[in-house]
Amino acid sequence: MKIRSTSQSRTASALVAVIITIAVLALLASSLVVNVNNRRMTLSQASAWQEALAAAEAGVHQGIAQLEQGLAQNSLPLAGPSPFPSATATSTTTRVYLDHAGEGPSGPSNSYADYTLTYNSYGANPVKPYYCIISTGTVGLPGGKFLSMDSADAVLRKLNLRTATRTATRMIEAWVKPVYTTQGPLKTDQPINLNNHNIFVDSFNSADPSRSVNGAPDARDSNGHLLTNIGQFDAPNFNVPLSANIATNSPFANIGDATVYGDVLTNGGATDGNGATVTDISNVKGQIINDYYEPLEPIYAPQWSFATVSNSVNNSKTYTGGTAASPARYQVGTIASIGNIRLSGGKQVTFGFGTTSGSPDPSKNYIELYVTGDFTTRGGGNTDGSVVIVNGVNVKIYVAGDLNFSGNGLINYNNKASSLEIYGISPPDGTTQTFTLAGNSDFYGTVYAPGADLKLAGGGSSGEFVGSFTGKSAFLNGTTQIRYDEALDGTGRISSFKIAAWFEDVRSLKASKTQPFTGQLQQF
Amino acid sequence: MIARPVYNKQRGGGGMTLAEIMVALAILGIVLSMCYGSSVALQRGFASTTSWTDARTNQLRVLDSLAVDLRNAIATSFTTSADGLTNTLPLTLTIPMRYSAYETTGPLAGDPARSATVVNPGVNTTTRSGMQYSDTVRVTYRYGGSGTKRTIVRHQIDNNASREVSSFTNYSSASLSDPDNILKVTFTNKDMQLINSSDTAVVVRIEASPDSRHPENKSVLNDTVFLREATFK
Repeated sequence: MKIRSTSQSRTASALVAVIITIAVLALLASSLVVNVNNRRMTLSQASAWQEALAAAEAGVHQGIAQLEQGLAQNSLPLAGPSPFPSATATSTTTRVYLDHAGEGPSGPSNSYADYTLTYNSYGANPVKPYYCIISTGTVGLPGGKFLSMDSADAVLRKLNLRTATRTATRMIEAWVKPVYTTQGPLKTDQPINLNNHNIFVDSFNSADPSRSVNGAPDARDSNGHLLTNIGQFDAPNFNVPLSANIATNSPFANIGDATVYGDVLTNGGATDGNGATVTDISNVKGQIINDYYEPLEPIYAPQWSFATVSNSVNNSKTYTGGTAASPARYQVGTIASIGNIRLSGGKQVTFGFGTTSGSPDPSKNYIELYVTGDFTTRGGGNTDGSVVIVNGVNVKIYVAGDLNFSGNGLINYNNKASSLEIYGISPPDGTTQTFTLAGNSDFYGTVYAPGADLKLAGGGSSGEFVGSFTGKSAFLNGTTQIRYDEALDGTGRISSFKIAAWFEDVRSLKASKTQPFTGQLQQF
Repeated sequence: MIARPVYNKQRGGGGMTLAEIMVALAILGIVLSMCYGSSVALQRGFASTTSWTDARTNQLRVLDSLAVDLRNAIATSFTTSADGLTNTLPLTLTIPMRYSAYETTGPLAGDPARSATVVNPGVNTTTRSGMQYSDTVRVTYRYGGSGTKRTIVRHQIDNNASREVSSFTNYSSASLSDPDNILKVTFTNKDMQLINSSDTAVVVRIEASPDSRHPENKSVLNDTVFLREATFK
C-alpha cells in the first residue's frame, strides 16, 4: 500500500505543475484576447459613430430631395402655416432606413435617420422660403457598457450604452435657401457659345444708385452715344465682387474671347491641351470653375381657373392689366386648337394699364399671357411688328412654342428687367424649341426657357440685353451685351435649394431634447 | 523466514547518476528558458498590441474631434510647419456660436452637453447679407504635455476653457516642441498642398510612434474633412 501511495504522489505533482503552467499561459492569452477584443469593440463603436454622421447627412439630403421634388411638382409650401407642414410646434418627422453592415446588429433597421423640415419665411416682396432640416442619424452599437471607454470618448461621442438598445446618435442642423432662376446672367443645360469677341457680359445693380444710372446700366445722350457705363467693372472700378457668372451643366463652353466680368462655370470642363472644352477664355475676368451643376426645373403650362381666351393674334392688340392680387390673364389658343401671335406689317401688341371708369388705373398693372403656340414679331409685311410694354406695367409671358422677337422686337418702357418675365414651357421630349431675341431696341427682361435653344443676336452696332437668361443651350453673336441686373436675385421662380448653413449639434441626446433647435430664424 | 526489505530493492533500481541529473537539469533549463522567452515575448506582444490599439483609438478621437470643429468653422488659421510644406498645430478655428453657455471649468470644459442654451441663426434684414449667427467662438487645438504624456488639447480662447482630446505615452526624450518623434498632426488640401482660403476640403493626417522598442514604426491615420461652413452665407 505504501509503495502505491509514493508512486501516485510523484505523478500528481507533475500533473499539477503542467496544469498550473497551462493555466498561467491561458490566463495571459485570454487577457490579451479580451483586451484586444475590447479595443476592437471600442474602435467599432467609433466607426458606428462615424456611420451615424453619414446617416444624419443622408437625412438632410433626403429633406433637400423632398423640397426639390416639391419644386418639380409645383407643390412647394411657399406660403401657409409655419412651421411646415402644419401649425404645430413640431414639424412632421420622416424616417429613412439605410443598409448597415459590419459590427453590431445588421439590417437596415439598425441604421436610420429621422429628419424634420421647418419652413421659415424671410424678407418681403418676394418672400424667400428658408427651410431648416434637422436630421438625427442612429446606428446600433457593437459591444456593451462593460467596455472601458475613455472619458474623452464620452465627451466627444456620447454613445448611448445605458439601454437595451445601444446606439450611436448624431444630429445635423442644416439650413437651405432658395436659388432663383434669375441668379446669374446666363445659365444653360447644354453648351454655351459666345461667338464674337465683341460680346461682353457684366452686371450692375438697378436698386443701388451708386451702381446704376437711374436704375439702368448706362446713360446715353439723345443720339444714343454712351455717356456713362456702370456695369463694366474696369471703368470705373467699383471694388465689388464680380457677379456676371455664366454657367452650364455641360462641359462645353466656347467663350469666343468675349469679355466676361465674372466666372465661367461648367460641369467638368477642361481648359488645357487638345481636349479643352472651355475655349477662348482670354478675356474672362473671373475664374474657370468645373464643378458646377444646377438642375433646371421644367416649366409647365399655367393651370388658371380663369383667363380670357382668344384665337391667334395677327393684328394690333392691347392687353390691359389687373391688380397685383388679381392679375389680368389672357390665353391665346387652347391645347386642342393652338394659337399663335405673329406680328408683321407694323402690327403691334401693347401691354397697358387696366382702366377704372374709363381712365387708365396705375394699380391695374399686372398682366399674364399664355401663348399656346409661337410668339413672333417679324413677318412678311413691309414693316416689322413689335411688342410694347407701357411704363409701369408688369408682364409675365408663357410661350409653349417658339419665340422670336426680331425686327422692331420688344420695347419695354419700364427700362427694368424685373418688369418682364418670359417663360418657355418645356416641350415634349424630342421636340425642338427656339427662343430668339434680336430686334432694334434694347431688351429689358428675364427669360427662363429650360427646354429652348436660346439665341441672342445684337442688332446694328449694339444689342443690349438687360436681365437674366436661361435656356437649354445658348448662342450669342454680333455685338451682343448681357447686362445682368443683380437686383433680380430673389425674383422669378425657385430653381433649386442650396445649403446655407450646416451644423452638427454635439450635445448629448438628452441635452438636445431639453434645449431643442426650433428651426426658427431670428431677424437681426 | 524473514523477507528482504522491498525498499532496498527499489533504491538500488531507481537511483540516478550525476550524468542523469545533469541531463535532466539541462532539459529543465531549456524548457524553463523557452517558457521565459515565450512569456517575455507574450508580454511584449501584449504591450505592443495595447500601445497600438491605444494609439489608434486616440488618433481616431483626435481626427473625429478635429472633423467636428473643422466642418463648423467659418475661419481657419493653421501654423505652417518648419519646412514650410504643410500646415500643422496649433490650429485656431472660428466657429459660429450655437450655444449661449458652455461649461467653463473642469475636465469637460467646452463640452456643450454639460450646459448649453441654443442660439438660433438669424438674417440681417437691413443688409440682406444672408444667414448669420450673432456671435462666434474661437477654438485652438495645440500640443500639450503632462508628465510622460504627449497630449492634444482643445482650448476655447474666449472663456479660457481647455480639455484634453487625447493622450499618448511618451517613449522618448523628445521635447514638447518636437512632437515628431511621438505625435505629429498635419493639414493639407486635397492636392496635399498648403491650405488656402479657397479650399473646401482638408486632409488631416496624424502620425504616432506607439511602440517604444520600434519607434520607427508609425501608426498613421488620414481623414478628409469638407469645410461645410465655407458655404455659410
